[in-house]
Amino acid sequence: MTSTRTTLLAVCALTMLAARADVFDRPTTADALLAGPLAAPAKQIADAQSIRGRFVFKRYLADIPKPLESSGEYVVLKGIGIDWHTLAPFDSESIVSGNGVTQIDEGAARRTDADAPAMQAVIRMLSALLSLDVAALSSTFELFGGTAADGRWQIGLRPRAQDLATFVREATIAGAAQIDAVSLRDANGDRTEIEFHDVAYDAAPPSPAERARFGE
Amino acid sequence: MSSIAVTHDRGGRLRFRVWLAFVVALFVLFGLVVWPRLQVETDIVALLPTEQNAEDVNRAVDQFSQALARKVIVLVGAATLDGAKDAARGVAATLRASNAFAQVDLEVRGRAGDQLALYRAHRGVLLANRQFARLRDGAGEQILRDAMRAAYTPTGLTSPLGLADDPLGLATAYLQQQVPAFGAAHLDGDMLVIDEAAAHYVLITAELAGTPFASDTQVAAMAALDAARQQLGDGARMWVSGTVQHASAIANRAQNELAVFGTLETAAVMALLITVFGALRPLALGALTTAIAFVAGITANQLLFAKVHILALVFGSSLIGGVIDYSIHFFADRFRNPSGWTTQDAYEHVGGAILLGLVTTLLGYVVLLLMPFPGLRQIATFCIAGLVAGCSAVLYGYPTLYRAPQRVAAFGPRIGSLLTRRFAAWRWTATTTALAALVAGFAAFGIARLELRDDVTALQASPPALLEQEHRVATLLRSALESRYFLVRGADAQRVLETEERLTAALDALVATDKLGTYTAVSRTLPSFVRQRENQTLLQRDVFAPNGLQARAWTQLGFDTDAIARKVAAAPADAPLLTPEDWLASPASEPYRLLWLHRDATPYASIVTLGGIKDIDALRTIAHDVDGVRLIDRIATISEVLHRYRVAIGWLLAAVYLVAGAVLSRRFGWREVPSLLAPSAAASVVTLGLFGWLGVPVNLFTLLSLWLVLGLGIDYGIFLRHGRTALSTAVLSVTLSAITTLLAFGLLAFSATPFIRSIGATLLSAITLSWLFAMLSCVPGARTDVVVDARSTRGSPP
Repeated sequence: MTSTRTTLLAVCALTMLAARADVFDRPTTADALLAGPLAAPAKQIADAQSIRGRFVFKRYLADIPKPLESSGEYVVLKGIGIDWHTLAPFDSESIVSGNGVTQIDEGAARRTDADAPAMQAVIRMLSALLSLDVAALSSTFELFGGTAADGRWQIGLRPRAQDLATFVREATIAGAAQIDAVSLRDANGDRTEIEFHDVAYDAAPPSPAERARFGE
Repeated sequence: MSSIAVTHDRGGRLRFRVWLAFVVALFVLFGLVVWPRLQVETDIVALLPTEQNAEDVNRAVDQFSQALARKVIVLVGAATLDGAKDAARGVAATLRASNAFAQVDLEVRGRAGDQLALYRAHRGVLLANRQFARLRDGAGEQILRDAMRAAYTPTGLTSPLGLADDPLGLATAYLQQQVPAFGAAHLDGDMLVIDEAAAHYVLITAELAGTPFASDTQVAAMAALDAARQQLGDGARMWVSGTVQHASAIANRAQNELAVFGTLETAAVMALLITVFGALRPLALGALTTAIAFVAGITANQLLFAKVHILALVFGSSLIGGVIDYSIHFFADRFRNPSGWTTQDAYEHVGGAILLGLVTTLLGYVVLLLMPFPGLRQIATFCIAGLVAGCSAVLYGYPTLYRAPQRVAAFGPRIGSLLTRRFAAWRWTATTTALAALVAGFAAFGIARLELRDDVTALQASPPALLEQEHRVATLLRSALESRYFLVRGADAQRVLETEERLTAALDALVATDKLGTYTAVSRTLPSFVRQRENQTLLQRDVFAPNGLQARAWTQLGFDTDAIARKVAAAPADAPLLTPEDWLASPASEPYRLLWLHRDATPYASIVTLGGIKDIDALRTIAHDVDGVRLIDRIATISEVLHRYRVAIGWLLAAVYLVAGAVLSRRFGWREVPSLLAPSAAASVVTLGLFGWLGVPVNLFTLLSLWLVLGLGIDYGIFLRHGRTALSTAVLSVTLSAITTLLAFGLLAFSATPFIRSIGATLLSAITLSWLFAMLSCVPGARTDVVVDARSTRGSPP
């Protein structure tokens, strides 16, 4: 039993290493990606004013067999910000916009300037990922990879700045018509997988009520 | 008549030789020593006395203020983020290539690694303030709850040590506390960025290679900034904030004005001298005298103060008026006796009056010299040196150098006798008394509504375009560079840090109630030993204990008991304190070193900077309540100093009137004193009244100008008294000197610099009036004193 699990783990690890090697072997640029594999999804996003969907967030730590898992909904308002709303296992919402960060735990809102710089950086990164803003991503990360197979694509990201590298060693994003999954590797070896489902694009501008939630 | 010049006595020749040697020595000194290292200071604040603090406080504050003044913030904007970043790279490259800047920061250097290394080595004694407060208040459960939330959300991704190593996020919170406040800017890639609806801005911070008040730094820095602006592509723009651009603009403006006003004034004085004296030689001598006076003033200032302040130069331009006065009295003396006049006659006839005038004027400046006010000392030194040198040129140089032309100009004497006849005809009548009463009433009402203004705007005003830029930068960053900050002092480094912690606890309360935006303090990153030991106690009791918060966090995350036991065992047993030396040695301390003044200051000191002050009174209360803390508020200090000295100068002015009266009474007898002092006193009062009606605010500089009026007004009186035997000559020379002074100062009324404008406007009005009053009070008396006692006819209307 133990040996089977070890073997399985080894295979998994090898597969992942292989995939990683594929992605990070080929440096690329934002322009190349937009001209190639991201042409269709990027066009779709270009017309949208907002992007909504559900997410499943899994955090794998060394020494813990089961990942920490949460799920919920997100909204990206283009040019305004992102709302990351965790619904399970507890209710917690972070709204990040040009006006700062608002944290809402079980309905009680508070502005959290103390956490703002680092949290803003991470959530802005998520926002850029979800809107496939490769131009913004390329100013923060070196880009790698491109098309994998069957219209699917995989892109590797490595932080350019030392400060960000203290938290994130590298990331991969994968998708087809839209982004499906993000995998982040921490500097200390932890790994985070985020899956995206039911992604919907809306060309209508956000309602005043929605904008108000973002502090606009 | 040219043979006359050689007839002067041997004493005159000796005086001339001594004087010539002095002038040659002065010019050699100026050329070899002063000119090569001449530094024109343009920081108006440098003229003001520093707060009457202990020496060490001044040094600490100066050190920090100078460092702050070197900072330049540039925001480079474009429609797209990439466009802004590209433009910012270009700007940074231009600035770096210029050598005007010691450092230009575009890419934010990664310090998280250094900070993390420092934290790892001392994690047993370090805690973020927020978590310290929670543990101290027994709210440790909240830390655990927040940490569990972070583990399941993207927030937790910012953990630099990883969840397994730091399940409570203690390192995360501590490192976040180290990030210096950048206002609204956030890190995008390796650049600090501000996003707006239609534009993105990239922040560049730079540090000048020299003081922003030195002209070579100004020229180099402004050229680099202009070049960077020129190279911006279409749609890109940049906004600059920093002392250097204001200092540069103000210096350029002052220099332009000095040049323009100086040229206009010189031309006007030339025209005047030629018209009145009908020859070029008086003109040449006048120019020479002015040059000698100016060089003497600059030399004295540079030697005594190691620099010459622009204000001393502006005041020095009055020397042209003052020194030319002496020349005019000398040249005009010839009109007394056009046919048989010799320069020796002039020396004997007006020499005494010139010397007496000089003594009363110097008296005023000597008093200024004694005041603890660097600016007044510089002005006084400049004027004393210039007046003495100019006066000696007239008294000892002119008798040999001047040869009266053959032709005697007729225009001057004609004007002189015309004016004399006019004023001699003046009497106290019912009409003139009524008029005088009317003027007195007008002045009294004006003075009653006089606006006294001592704020810093009286000193200098930047061009609106620059203020607009500063405003834009402050709006975009949502925080302005605050000129107010706290100075913390203590007997040693630990006392300073402990005091800082008491201060920051009070500041945290203000931040929480939105009375203060933010602050930056060394103790955020280097806690005192006392705090570190408290941290250690709390951490060991509540966090690292076998059933502490950390072990519970591990359990909740799903670690098994064996893994937890291993982790507990692996934790380092001892917790070394973080010493100031360790901290300074780490690159992590770099952003804070500017605030840590202990290296040069005794006792030890540090600075706590502030951002977004909304309630200055709350800060004042804190400064009052926390021992060892001072709120340094340069603007308020300047206003207070301006106020204090305005009051002091007011009283001194009154005192100097008394002293001058005493000096004059020895020479002329006490009965003459009122009529000698009345012109300047009345002119000053009516000018103040006029300002009251016109809404011109009165400040320290108004009173300093009245100080000049006192000296000049007395001069007029003395010359008119002295010249009784040849009244029309005296009237002419006094009139001419009033005109030259008006030319010198009247133009200053059109300056763009508020305090120079104050000086100009005051003198424009007061000199005109004191000339008029001197004429009215001395000329009729001069005529009547031959017949009846002067004073008996005055004062009581017929």
